[in-house]
Amino acid sequence: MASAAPERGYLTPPAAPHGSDSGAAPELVWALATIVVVSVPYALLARGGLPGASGLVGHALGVAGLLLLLFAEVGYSWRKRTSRSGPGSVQRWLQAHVYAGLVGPYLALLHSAFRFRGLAGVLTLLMGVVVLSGVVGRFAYTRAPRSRRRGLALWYLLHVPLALALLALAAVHAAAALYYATLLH
Amino acid sequence: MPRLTSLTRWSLGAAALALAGVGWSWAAAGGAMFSPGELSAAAAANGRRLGGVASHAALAHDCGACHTAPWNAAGMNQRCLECHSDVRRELGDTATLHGMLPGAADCRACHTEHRGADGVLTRLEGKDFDHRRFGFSLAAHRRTAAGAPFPCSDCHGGGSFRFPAARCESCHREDQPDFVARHRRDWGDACQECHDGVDRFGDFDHARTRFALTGAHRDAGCVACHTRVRDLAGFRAAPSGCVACHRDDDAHRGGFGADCGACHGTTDWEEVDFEHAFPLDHGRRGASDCEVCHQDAPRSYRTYTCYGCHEHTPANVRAEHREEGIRDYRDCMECHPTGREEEGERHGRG
Repeated sequence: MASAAPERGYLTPPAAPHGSDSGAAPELVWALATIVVVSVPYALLARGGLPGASGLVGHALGVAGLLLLLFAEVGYSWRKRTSRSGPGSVQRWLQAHVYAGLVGPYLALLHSAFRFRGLAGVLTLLMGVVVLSGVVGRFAYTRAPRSRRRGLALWYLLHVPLALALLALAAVHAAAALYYATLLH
Repeated sequence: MPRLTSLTRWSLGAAALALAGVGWSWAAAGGAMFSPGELSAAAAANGRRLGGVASHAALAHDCGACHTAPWNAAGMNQRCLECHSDVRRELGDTATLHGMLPGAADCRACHTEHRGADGVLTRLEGKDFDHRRFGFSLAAHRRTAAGAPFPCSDCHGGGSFRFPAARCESCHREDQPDFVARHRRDWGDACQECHDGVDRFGDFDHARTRFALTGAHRDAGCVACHTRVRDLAGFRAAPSGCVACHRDDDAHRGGFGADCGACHGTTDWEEVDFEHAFPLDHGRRGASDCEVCHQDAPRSYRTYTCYGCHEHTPANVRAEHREEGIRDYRDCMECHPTGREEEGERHGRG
């Protein structure tokens, strides 16, 4: 098979020219910075007890986390399948995907107030697996020699379906929260 | 038209599987998977079953027992009151806790659930609830000395929101046992008649008032002077004159007037700083009892008589003065200011 053709497949081009990738991952720096920026006020709020999942802070964290997860899931997939003339480079979209895929779950974790029960607990666990598979795939992929990248299709088989399952469960979770908590009267 | 690469056969299958899991959980345990925490296992104090259950915990799989659909006209409050008929009755009676509270029909404004089997179902912290409405501010009772929030039951025992007598003392005697015991003895159990939760008299110094406590006043109970006082103005209105309190135990029965301090200090009534103008040992027999001369004592010491001594019989005195030609001898001290016989010659009248 010609070496150029697979590059247009579901495995996107490497984030940066070969050789400079390992040291330059601005999305990780940005994600870490965001996590720190969010953690400081959260830690201050948590001094009087962890903000509950259903309070104003908890719900804000949950909604923000869900939106970021939704963006991570839909945005990147959509961009990959648009024409080359789509908005922004695919590489930028991957960076945004990694950023949202790290910060979103972190916000959702804070939203949980570290209580893992019922559907919310399953969601948190599944979210962890999806993030982990994403991290492995992203960095194993960029470090693997081009000849072996096809083997990483297995990762794709794990990461994407679990992410969609996660989204489905998150939708149920949000609907239940609306029904049982937010729309109470 | 681009398609979303996420929507592969595998991913759709995984999502369907996840939703099937939700469905299975629903069939097996109702909405339990959505529960943010266990329901309270606390039973009614009198052991009564309400709504067919002994505690909320029995409703764990039946979300609909309390949660109504957003489009259902009967809201959650209605569901609460269907079982808690005692609260429903209170709502119509302004002499009860729920009857007194404005907006009490909104149960969730104060009550919560899903806080675990032992969870506290009433939250009245801070701004959620204005306790001043009941005449007692919680300003000084936000947190215990250990830093924990006060549970209602600390003051309101036995599940009742009436305020039992001596409830304050059960905590306050821990850090001021002697004072609290004395204070309660002096003032009684109705703490709230004076204290509204805002006043702090812990650093009170009586010397800063216009009546410093000295001598025996230091050991006097507050109520000895501040009788039937129930507010700060009442304390300030306490009289500062001696006779206001000591009229009844005035040994002179008012005979010396109201300026007790002219002779007495605050240490002891017996310690008298007073110089008797008339020498008490003028007869060279030592001091006589007051009543020998002041026969109206203790009612009055303003009057005196010299006939208290056996030689000063009216007949003797009359005879002696007649010998000298003295007819007006009614006021002895006019001529005998120190009681000496010979003084009379200097003052003598012909």
